[in-house]
Amino acid sequence: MLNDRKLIMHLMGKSGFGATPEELDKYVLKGYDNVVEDILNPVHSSSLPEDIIYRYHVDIAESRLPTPTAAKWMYRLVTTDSPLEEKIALFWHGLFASNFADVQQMTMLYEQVDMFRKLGLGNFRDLLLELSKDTAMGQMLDNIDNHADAINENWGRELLELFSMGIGNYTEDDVKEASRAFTGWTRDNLEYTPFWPYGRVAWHHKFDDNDHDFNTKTFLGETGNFDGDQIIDIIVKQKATAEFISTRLYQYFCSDQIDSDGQLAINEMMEAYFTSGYEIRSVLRSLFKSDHFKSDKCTYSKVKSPIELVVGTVRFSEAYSKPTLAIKDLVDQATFMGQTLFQPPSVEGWHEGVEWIDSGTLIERVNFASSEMSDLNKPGVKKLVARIKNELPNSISNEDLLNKCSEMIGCNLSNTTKELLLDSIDNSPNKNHKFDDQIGQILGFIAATKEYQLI
Amino acid sequence: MTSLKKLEYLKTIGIVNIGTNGLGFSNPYDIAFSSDNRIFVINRHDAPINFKPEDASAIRVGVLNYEEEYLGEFGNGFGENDGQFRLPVAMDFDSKGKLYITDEFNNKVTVFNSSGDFLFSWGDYGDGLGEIDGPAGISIDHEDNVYVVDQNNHRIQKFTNDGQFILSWGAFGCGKGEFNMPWGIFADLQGDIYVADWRNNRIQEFTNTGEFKAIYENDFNRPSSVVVDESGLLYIADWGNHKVKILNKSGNLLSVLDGQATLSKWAKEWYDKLPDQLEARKKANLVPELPSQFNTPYQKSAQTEPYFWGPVSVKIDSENRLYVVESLRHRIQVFSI
Repeated sequence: MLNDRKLIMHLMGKSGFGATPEELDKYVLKGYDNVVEDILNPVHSSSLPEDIIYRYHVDIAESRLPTPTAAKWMYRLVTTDSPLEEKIALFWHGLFASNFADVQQMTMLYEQVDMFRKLGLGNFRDLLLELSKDTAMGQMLDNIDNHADAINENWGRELLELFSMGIGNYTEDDVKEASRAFTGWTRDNLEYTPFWPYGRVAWHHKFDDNDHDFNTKTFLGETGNFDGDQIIDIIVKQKATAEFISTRLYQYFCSDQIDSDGQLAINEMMEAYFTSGYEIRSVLRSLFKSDHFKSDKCTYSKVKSPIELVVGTVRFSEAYSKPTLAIKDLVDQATFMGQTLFQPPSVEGWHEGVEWIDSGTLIERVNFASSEMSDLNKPGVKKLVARIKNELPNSISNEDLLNKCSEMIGCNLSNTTKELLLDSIDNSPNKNHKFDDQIGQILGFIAATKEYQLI
Repeated sequence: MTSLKKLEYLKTIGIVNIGTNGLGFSNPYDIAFSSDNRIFVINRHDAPINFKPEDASAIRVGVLNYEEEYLGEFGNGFGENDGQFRLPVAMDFDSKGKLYITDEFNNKVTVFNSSGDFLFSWGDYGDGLGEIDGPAGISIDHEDNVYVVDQNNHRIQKFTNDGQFILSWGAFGCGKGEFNMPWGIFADLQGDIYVADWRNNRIQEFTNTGEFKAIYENDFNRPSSVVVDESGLLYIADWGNHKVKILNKSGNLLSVLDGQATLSKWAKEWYDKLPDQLEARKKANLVPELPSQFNTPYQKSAQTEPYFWGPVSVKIDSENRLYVVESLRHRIQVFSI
């Protein structure tokens, strides 16, 4: 079992993007269970204010193009004090994947993510209902072309297959009936999508009762005059839905692989789903408070996504606390590693786990993390170095220094890696001679290890 | 509210033109009028994040007239060399016809003649007297003194028209004479100075030596620009509310403008080539009822094409016409005052 500090570091890594030593100090005083409640119930979350971002970046304010809008989210990711709010938005963004190539309307894609942020820890029924009305999703999966006299099954199919129950738990007839129930769920001014003369006009949902199929439907064994709302009511009470959502949350917040203990944890998450009335917050509480989650086998059990790697590293270096043109570099770095916000490769989202890693993306990850963590000009690195110096006695070995540095950034190095790194450290540490440089060098080394890629 | 000051909407000027040069605007940010009635418009452009070398020259000053003839443009693109910009903010003419433009990234004031030729520039980054950090609004009084908003030092600096420091006033805070990231500035004919005290949500009035005179507040949300007409009425770009408000010198609210843009001459010319798109526009409801989650000023304006979206600057020309520059709709709405 991990000690309190390591346990909370594990929780913050999995539920957010890690924690600085100062943040950990505060969390340890609160205790694990209280921290779990705090992160599950964010109140008045704070990040770099939008007005300050909009004033500096007119392109972010307009949200016309993908990169500035991704940069807007990146500011929030790297400066928020409620990281789970962003992490859950990122989870739903990957699961309910919509992308710029298909939607071509960044304002609405950002609104979609904002909806994930607001509802993502709440009731799954509310989330699915808002997703059904979401105009970016309506464009992405063609529900705007789903008419009473000519249904388009794309939304109905993916709602069941990719977003709630998973294949094998419904029939083709269920897809058709669900699609009929969502006819007329469209958007206002459907034909007016100007870029000229005055830029894009944002979208909003509209129910067109002239284009809705009001006839009786039979869906998953139930018959009635169902609208989309009732279809969602039926979906959320299915055992398959509880299993699908709990499994996806487990894989995202705990471990890429599911063993028998993991399956037991998922079963408990499913129970929490039903007893809470489909509250995602309760499902995650069940996971985070489980003995399984706290066990050694669940630490360093996931490959960091590019966003987790970039954001986690930058939150340590604290280099983006005010607007800067360099914010684009962070978006680009994640792209080079295989993940561009608002541009998942398909409606299936990103392929995660070890699939994040190939020879090209690994080099990008190592170069970025190592460069950022060894940069003594970054305010967070400066603080880290000062703290490491302060906590070490005057006489120390290379191994002492390596252990302290890895502890500070929550990276659990294997003995093999330690030996390799110790071979690479040139001089014995001397607190009176270029010690800051040496700490920076070691932090950079640690950020380049295999272990740093894991969470 | 009952409008106590009626303004007549006259026209809209502009069409979006991003990434290329020529007719149109790319995130217009400020406007100035030369003595021969030409209209100069800063195009801040979105190059900084979407930067592509071929787009660089789209950061420019466009020149046109009230009849919407596009007369040309100048600026040497994205950069820090002579005549180049990174994040241009505001501009004003002096009595000799020289145009002064601030750049909050380059920390410079760059001066051109009215033909667009680079003359000189000044500005050193810092917080000492005469140094600047994020110059924003600029205004030149009738004696050709240059007032520059020193945004990140939270103060106003006064220079001669060749960049020699005269004096400064203000510091960070929310008391009288203090500022929080000020933006726009206006020197009126009486020699008084009005400052859009952006993050304090107010306008402050000073003498031309920085003595505090008055504060104007009216539920502003990050006001970015202020201009005062000959009768003393204040016109304020209420940037965060996406509106323009008109106040008298007693601070009473006389009118609120939402914006009522129509097709500009350039927009009509564009639609002449694409009649199908014009038909789609005619059928659209341009002022729709919105679902409750979009009941924010930003979303209302993002969803309602005629409304102001990102009103960054207000200016009045010699014909007593009020120009409202909209950075996010790439256009300028004009009203008779």
